[in-house]
Amino acid sequence: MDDTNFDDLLKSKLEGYEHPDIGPGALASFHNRMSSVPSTPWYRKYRTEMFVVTSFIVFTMLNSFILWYGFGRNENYNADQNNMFSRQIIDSLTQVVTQLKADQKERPSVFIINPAPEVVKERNVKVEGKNKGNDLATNPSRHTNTKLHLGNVASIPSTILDRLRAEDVLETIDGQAYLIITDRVSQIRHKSYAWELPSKLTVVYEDDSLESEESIEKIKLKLPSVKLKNRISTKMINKIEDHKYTTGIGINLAPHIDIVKGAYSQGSGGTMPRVGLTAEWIVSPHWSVETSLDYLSTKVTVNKDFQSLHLPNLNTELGTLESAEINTRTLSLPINMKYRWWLSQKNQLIVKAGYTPYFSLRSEYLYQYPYPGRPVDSDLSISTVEQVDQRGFYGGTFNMSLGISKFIKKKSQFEVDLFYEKSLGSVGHEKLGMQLFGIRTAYSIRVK
Amino acid sequence: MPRIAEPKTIFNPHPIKKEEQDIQIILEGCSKGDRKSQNQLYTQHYRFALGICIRYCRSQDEALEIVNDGFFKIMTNADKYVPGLSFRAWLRKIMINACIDNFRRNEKHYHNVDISYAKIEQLTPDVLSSLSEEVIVNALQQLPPSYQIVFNLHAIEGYQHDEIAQKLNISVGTSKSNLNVARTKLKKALSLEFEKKAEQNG
Repeated sequence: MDDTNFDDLLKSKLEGYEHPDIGPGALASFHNRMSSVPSTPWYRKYRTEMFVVTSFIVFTMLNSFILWYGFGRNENYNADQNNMFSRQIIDSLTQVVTQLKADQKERPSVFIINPAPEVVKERNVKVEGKNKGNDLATNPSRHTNTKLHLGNVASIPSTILDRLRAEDVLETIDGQAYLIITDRVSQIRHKSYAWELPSKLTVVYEDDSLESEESIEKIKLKLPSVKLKNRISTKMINKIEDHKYTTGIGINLAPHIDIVKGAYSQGSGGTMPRVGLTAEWIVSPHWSVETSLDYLSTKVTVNKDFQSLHLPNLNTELGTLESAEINTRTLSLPINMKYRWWLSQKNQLIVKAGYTPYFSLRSEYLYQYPYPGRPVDSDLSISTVEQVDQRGFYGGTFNMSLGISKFIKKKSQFEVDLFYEKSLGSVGHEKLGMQLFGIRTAYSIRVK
Repeated sequence: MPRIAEPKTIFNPHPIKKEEQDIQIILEGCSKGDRKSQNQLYTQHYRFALGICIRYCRSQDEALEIVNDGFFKIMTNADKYVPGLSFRAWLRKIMINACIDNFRRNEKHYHNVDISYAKIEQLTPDVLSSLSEEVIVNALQQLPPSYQIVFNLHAIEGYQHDEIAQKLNISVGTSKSNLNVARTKLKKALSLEFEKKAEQNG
């Protein structure tokens, strides 16, 4: 009996061999060994969950205080006090977010959408990979042979076998199928884990030396996106994402632009653009906290009942006011809880709800008076513009939105959602009830 | 009319299995130090791990020690496991590395032990197939450690001589000669076992 046959026979007998003896002493000796490692205290085990709950409570308390402050303010509020309070709010938010970032160990998260390649028991095929000096990793060597063991011929679909035969890259020995690596078969990466045939058939196998999560992510990117018979359902994707979740906080940054239509308790609102930058703090596979800094110039046009608006610097010498247009430049700092759910391989459903405090920077009042001696059928008028620096708390709104997020590349996604905001009480110096609704588009980039 | 490209096809001989997903839940618990998860992982894979390590050792006690070394590494490095890859393959690699580490630590204490030679070598594929795994493992355990480990790494695990030489700090030539000697000794030991079995059966 030759050496190769001898080796193969022994390998076939021993490769999957499991020792029959369980051994009651084995578990006891293992416990002795593990007792040298102290168990993780509960406050370290659940520190991510505790951070999430704590940050949520802090944000809620902070916003409740802002809301209470907004409701309780009177007409003659001190502008300086409001400015200081605004700075305190921004500082406290920044501090909490920085604390969250500093206390979480950065761990990359791995997310698998397509079925991952697994080990194909290869013969005489080696894999080239990085040596990270890890005791747990073997030291792979150079690729030297030209055959890749695909498995038992009976276990391979006949359509695949036919395609391999058509390309003249299939060899069968003793009922086992081998892929012949010729010049026509190109490797997708320098690591010998996947080959692409000219007919676009790709053969992949698991590479145990690929312990780098980054390299795994790159491998998945290179694989073509196709409809597979055994494609994972979105329900399974959500389950896998739950199981694969590792501790830590992920961060996305998203510049966005909104088209906003305002509706007020008095007068009519205009359609305005709003721009801003959103930071999304991902704390779990489905939940995240969104904070943002937005700029919006609101516009209200009022044609009657001016007395209740307390409009500044009215010129009574010009006659009775006909209309007033109020433009207010605002900054807002919305805080939202965001929920994500997979709808398909690349699309997620987004639901958000939260609170948005507004801070005014400057207000501009455009007054229109009738032209003296104006004919009845004429619309001649006199306009005056008053600019008032009114820096302070403008008002707060409760907001909610519903949208879709689509993954474009590995670390970026495009989000579109419809939003609605309703003021909690009145807003602005004019004390108007405000409702905003519109559409938002955002381009999100994963930072961490 | 634009030409529609033929969709690419990926052939994956081993689609993802449910038990691999369950492993991730257990490993999550292990990384958090959950004793229940650690016990579950140990009892589920102990026999497989011992089946690997016992081929590299002279006795079951020594193999058990290596198995516990390997599981200790797994428990304390559970976060290094890449989800989606075969856990058994990862476990196998860790156990083999633990065996190699054990060999390196103890090789100076090993003494070569000669084994009896069969009068006539009667080893054929049929004879070999008729022998049980336990008999083959016992024969492996009788080999001197330096031959035993080279044979296991080359014939069973599929490593090439230059890889083995690098792992064991020996030359390629030594690896090849150890393999040949191991094969010769193993064939004769198994022939001896077959003779004994034939005599018992009359």
